[in-house]
Amino acid sequence: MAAETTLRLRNDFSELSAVADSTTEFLEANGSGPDIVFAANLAIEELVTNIIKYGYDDANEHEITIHLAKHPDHFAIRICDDGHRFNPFDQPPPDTTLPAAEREIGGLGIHFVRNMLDSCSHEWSEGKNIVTVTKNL
Amino acid sequence: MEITEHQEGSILVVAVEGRIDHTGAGAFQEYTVRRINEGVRSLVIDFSKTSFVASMGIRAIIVPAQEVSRVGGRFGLTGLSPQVRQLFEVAGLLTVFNTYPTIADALADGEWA
Repeated sequence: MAAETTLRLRNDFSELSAVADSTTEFLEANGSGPDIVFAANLAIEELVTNIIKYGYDDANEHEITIHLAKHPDHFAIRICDDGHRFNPFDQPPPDTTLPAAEREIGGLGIHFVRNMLDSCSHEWSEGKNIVTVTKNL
Repeated sequence: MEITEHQEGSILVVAVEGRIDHTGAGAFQEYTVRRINEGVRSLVIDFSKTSFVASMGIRAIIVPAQEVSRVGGRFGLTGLSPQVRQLFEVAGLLTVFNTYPTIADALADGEWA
């Protein structure tokens, strides 16, 4: 049986620290180790930061929902936003062989998510972006 | 995020407690660059109490590393958790930075400015 919870936040960076606290609390209460806690925090921080920065074509308030589910063999995060259609996993990975100073800004966060989690997917449904990432236990 | 510092021999150790996230990255970068501008040439960042680092945090670490290198100093990292270490590895930065299991290992390296 899965333990699950849903977190809601506004598209405002100041909301992220409360979300991080709730995520960590939920995971630790369900017996997750530091690997899972770190990966979940990373995925939420990077994906939600991208949504807040680049996801909206207006300056209005929007709601982002984050669904966390701990299954017997994996952990899943589903992030849903009503910004414009965007698949973060469509972007090419950054060239991490270049000297640090010559690297392009952007792209590193998604590169981290791809590498630290086991599956990453995006779908566009009923005018919303739904990004799902999972990590095997 | 809370930043503290102490001197270990010729090395200034800057320890970060909590999260170096989107919000904390700027403050971290500002703090370390200011200390370099004030004359620090041997700088080690201690991550042993750092619970989380985001991509913005990794970028914020590159800046003081480059600054120290520009002024002929030396920069290192210590106390990396397996997760933070993996981030540096994925970013292709583990080979770029001097990393030490402990401050004592850093001091024993013997090449500090």
